[in-house]
Amino acid sequence: MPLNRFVAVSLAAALLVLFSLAAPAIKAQQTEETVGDPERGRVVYRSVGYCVNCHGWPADGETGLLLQAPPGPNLRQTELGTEALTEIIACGIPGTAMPFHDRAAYRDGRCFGMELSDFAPENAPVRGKTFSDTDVANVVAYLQTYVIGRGEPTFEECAEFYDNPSAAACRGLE
Amino acid sequence: MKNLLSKSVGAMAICAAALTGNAFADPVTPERLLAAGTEAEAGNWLMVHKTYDANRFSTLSEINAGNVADLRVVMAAPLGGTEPAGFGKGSIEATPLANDGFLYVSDPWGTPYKFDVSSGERAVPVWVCDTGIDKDPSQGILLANRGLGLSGTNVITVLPDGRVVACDDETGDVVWDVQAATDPGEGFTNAPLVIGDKILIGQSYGDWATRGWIAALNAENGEELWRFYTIPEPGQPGSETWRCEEAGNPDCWRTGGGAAWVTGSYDPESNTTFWGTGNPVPMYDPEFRPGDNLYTNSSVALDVDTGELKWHFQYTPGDYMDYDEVGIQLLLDANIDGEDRKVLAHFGRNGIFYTLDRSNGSYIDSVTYVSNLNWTEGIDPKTGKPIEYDPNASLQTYAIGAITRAGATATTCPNIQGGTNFFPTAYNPELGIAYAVGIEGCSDLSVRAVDPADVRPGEIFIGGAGVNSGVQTGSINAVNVDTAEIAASHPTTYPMYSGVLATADLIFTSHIDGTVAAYDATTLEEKWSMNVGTSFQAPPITFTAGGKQYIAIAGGGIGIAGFGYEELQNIQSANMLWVFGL
Repeated sequence: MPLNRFVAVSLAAALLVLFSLAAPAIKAQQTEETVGDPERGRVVYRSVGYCVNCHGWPADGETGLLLQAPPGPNLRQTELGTEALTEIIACGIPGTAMPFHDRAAYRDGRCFGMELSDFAPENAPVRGKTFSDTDVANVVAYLQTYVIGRGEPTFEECAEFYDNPSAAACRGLE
Repeated sequence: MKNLLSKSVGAMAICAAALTGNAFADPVTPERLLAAGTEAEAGNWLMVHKTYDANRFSTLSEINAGNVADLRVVMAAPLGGTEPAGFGKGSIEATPLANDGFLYVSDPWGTPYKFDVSSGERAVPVWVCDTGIDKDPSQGILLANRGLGLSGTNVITVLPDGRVVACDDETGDVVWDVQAATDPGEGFTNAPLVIGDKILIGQSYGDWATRGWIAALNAENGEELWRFYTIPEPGQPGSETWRCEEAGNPDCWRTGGGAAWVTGSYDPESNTTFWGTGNPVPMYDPEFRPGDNLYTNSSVALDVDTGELKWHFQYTPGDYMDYDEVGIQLLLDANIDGEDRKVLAHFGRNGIFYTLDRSNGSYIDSVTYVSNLNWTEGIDPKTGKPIEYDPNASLQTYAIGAITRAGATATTCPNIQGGTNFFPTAYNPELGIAYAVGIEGCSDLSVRAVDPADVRPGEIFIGGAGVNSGVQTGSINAVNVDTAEIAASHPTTYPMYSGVLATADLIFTSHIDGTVAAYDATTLEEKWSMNVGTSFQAPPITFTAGGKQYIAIAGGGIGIAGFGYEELQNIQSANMLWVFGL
């Protein structure tokens, strides 16, 4: 049976609360829990998942490029920890524009014990680009190493992100 | 020995020319462009809207309502340009051009291609002009190019990086290359308009923190001759409609938008060019830029020799619904209330079809052409303004209510993308009917304030969100211009993003699901359709080669036009030129 809109929205809200409660305030340059490769994670964030479209290259919630959805949240100020970040990247947030990236999400119960058919069409989780489990960890490592806790985006950071000091996206920061 | 070698090479060149046919098309002189609507040029399509009046009407009649059911693909050729920019892969939005059996088309990066289709059996690539474009994937733009210009022996393209490039018609080599747009974020997506010894261009990035302009270049070398800014600077007429000080933001006009991202039309008799202008920036946050925001959302009439503004008509003052009015400025003669009038007709993105007197910009009449319009209760029959419009107000409140930084939201119909949009409209002068295709639906609007100090020049700047509200469909609409009445309407399954070609008894258009179709010019009853798989966001043209009539159109990926339809999301960016014939 499809969930109605109220239940789906409530679920999304509950998940957000759950994430924020369960996640200790893990700050930037955190390394102890980081098992992924942050350099590979940057590539996945930029060129595999196109996370830039909603979150912007600095993940600051200001410079997203998608006109059809509000910009994604500012991840530089997020208090989400490894477990919550991993789950959101893998499973998305149903009822919002945040897509899922796990290849088997909503097929075998690994995401909240739910399947796609459990959702009403308008509240179904959005399909994103597919990441391997390793790449989900790599993106988490990237966020924890280079994004979370950082201040205003800089030109140097932009040039490093695009591996190109002439990148058009960096021009306004010089 | 050297002589022998050069003779051999020369002989080989002659043989090659004999095998491939003549790579020359007749130069496109100013006189030919002026005559683009005459019998002598009936088989060609020499400028983006076919003729200076932008009617996109062809007198060719070999393909007609009686035989269109037999139309089929006879030639096809792949195009490139599928490399993504910041918003992803670009859309194919270009109108092909046709001259003496050659077709010219541009890909989303503005790269021009020339094909020899004179055989009627194969589209032979003659050249691809290498503009040296840096296909920078970080460039935060909606990648698109709407077509080329033909000027003498040059093929003119405008590029997203702000350059204008002339390619040699015979060889495809670059003849000249100028950096016409130099401020951050400026660039081009429209097609250039060649008039006499000038090339008219319009700065196209109007959802970005830029200031719009239209300029004329010297066709010989690309040197700029004049520039008209669509956003006046303080002290100029119209600047009083930018009440930036009230927002504590005195420079709000500098990023005021008003881009001219669709090619205008031209009236040789009055030497006037007519362009539509885009939305104010940021589109959803009028509190950033209080006032009517001239000359955004307007038709502007400019003297071609000087760029001087002759008149303007603003459709939606102080807009917060993204109802920019860059769409086609149809020039036509109509008999309205028994009087012969020289008319500028325009399908507004705001869902309303307007007629203006093109000699002075005065309002004549209007009619709502979308099935669901709620943002205004109607148009004032004297002024042509929405009846809610208050000329003294800093912030307009239309019938849907204001959207505010304090959190007020609204749902506006039609969809923020229109009504119609850049999708070319058309006019059949024999029937007196104007045609448009577009979107049926609504959008949910909200504001997201940005501190002026955080505005990055040239970067995307929309000040909120406008998202699809429920299911979006489409429609084809026909309007009787004399009476401003709907002549016929044809609902479509999907939103339409293409454009219209009008012939004596048919219109041709295409759909985002890959279908090309013809409809009866009077009833809009479907007479023929064929699905070839590529998404269509560009309009068809018609031309002749070897004395035979064809229909040509370019298609590609779904881009941003999927509108949430699951079955459309997997249409890939395989950019193609299609040619149909009997």
